[in-house]
Amino acid sequence: MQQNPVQASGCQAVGKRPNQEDAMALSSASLPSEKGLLAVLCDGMGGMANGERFSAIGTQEMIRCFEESPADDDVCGELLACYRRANAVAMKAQEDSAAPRGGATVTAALIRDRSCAFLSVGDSRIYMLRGGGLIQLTRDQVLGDMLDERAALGLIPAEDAKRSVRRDTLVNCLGMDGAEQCDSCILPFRLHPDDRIALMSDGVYKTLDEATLAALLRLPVKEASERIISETLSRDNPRQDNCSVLVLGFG
Amino acid sequence: MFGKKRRQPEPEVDNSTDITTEPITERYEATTTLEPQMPPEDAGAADGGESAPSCPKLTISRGQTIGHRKKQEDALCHSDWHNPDVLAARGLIAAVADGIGGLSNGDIASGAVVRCVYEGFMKQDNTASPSDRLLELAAAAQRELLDMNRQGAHTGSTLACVLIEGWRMWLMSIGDSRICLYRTGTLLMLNRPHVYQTEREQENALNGEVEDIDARKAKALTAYLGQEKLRYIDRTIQPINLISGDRVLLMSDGVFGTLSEDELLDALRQPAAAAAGAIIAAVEDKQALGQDNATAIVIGVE
Repeated sequence: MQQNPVQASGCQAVGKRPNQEDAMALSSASLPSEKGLLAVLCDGMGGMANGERFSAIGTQEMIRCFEESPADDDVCGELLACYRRANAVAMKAQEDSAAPRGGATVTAALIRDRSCAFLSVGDSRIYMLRGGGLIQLTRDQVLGDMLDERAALGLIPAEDAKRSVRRDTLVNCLGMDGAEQCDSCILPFRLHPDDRIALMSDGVYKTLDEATLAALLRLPVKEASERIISETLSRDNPRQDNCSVLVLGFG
Repeated sequence: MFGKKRRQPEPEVDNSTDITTEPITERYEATTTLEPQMPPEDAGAADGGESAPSCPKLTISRGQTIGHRKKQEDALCHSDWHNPDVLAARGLIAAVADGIGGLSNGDIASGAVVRCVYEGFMKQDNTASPSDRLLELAAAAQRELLDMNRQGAHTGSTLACVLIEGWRMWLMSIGDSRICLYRTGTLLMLNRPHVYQTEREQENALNGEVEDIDARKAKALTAYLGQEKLRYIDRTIQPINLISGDRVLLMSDGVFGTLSEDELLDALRQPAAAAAGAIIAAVEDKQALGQDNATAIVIGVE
């Protein structure tokens, strides 16, 4: 079957931070077409060198595992297996390091046969623009949402949940052992030729509102990724975090 | 409980416990609507952008069949979608609950869940965030079912539920009922079902293990209302932005267990007021052996 190739474009900026701890990667364009395309975006944590190190492990190991293994009919399982391999490398790096512990968020979208499967750990996001309307596909894996649920069920006082200083703490990330489950789709979903998929770190979505994101994602993918980053920087957020976006198009 | 094509007044809560007098093949057709249906595509409106009005026109249809079961253990509810004042004050709630068949009193459980959701919603104002409001409704239903279980009911139910304010929608789901978005001719599942097989497959993939999953347990729920320690609540914190032409589908497993994605898409191409009826008709036409209770709500957004 003749298929249009997936168009992909990534863009990032350091913001007001000393270095870039976000990382992005795409699988090789020379893979057999039945493998499809894997896009990965990670946001590293744990101090400068550690952040860079773990986001690099996340992207590189996910891509390496994907490229080395045969296409699996269970696309969601294939993504989870890539994450498992990447996390094993991250756990090993944790042991080998005298430095404080590091970690990274991981968002990954696998495009195969005009369908998409995705996975996320941490608080980076995957959005889909469909018919001009923006949908966040992933759930942020942050402690605050969990505390709200416990409070609603009467397990902890509501005040404790709302006032917790750890609301933004990640309940899961690459390099964390005993992690909660990944947030992962259970079935790949069919893509429309006009859909856009966008992976992004919190440095983007905490600065730009959804209406702006939706408007910019309608542009051709390269322009979309560049404009999203330039627009983020133009807001002159004094504490602008590293910001990265990876945009996929299917037309 | 509510007949075919009867318009007003319509019951806001369909508590399945008192529909036992209905013939088992009764099919609840979409309530007809006075508004024009499916206006031709209008270039400006499809964007949902500046040109869109502040509130969409919503149309709800619902359908239910008992299938080959002895009892209807699914239940549904939705708030008034005709009244702009109610919509402006509270938004719209719609929910499907599927009482757990393996446990006794599934019908009572699902009926209690939709009643808690509906009554709780009608007491809320829109000061709290929609995601918090949904959580509050789930918590009320959970308290109710735990009380029933402490009195020996031994029961449980799923809940798939959406809250719409203007062009924005939030969802919450516990169990294996599904919430899907039909847009640009494609279907997207929005929630994460809590099913044993899925959970095992994910854990095995993450642990690098291979396991033959016990077929008898494959469809068991890993979370449901009435569970002593409620394990998961799937919910969106950020709104899903609706656009003109969207159809939101809530359904119990009796629907998606029988119909393929393409069959669902065929039914969803109908005008919103007829879509849920078309889905249930398609389920019944299949005459699947042991057909489970099937319930669908379709919300059309124009």
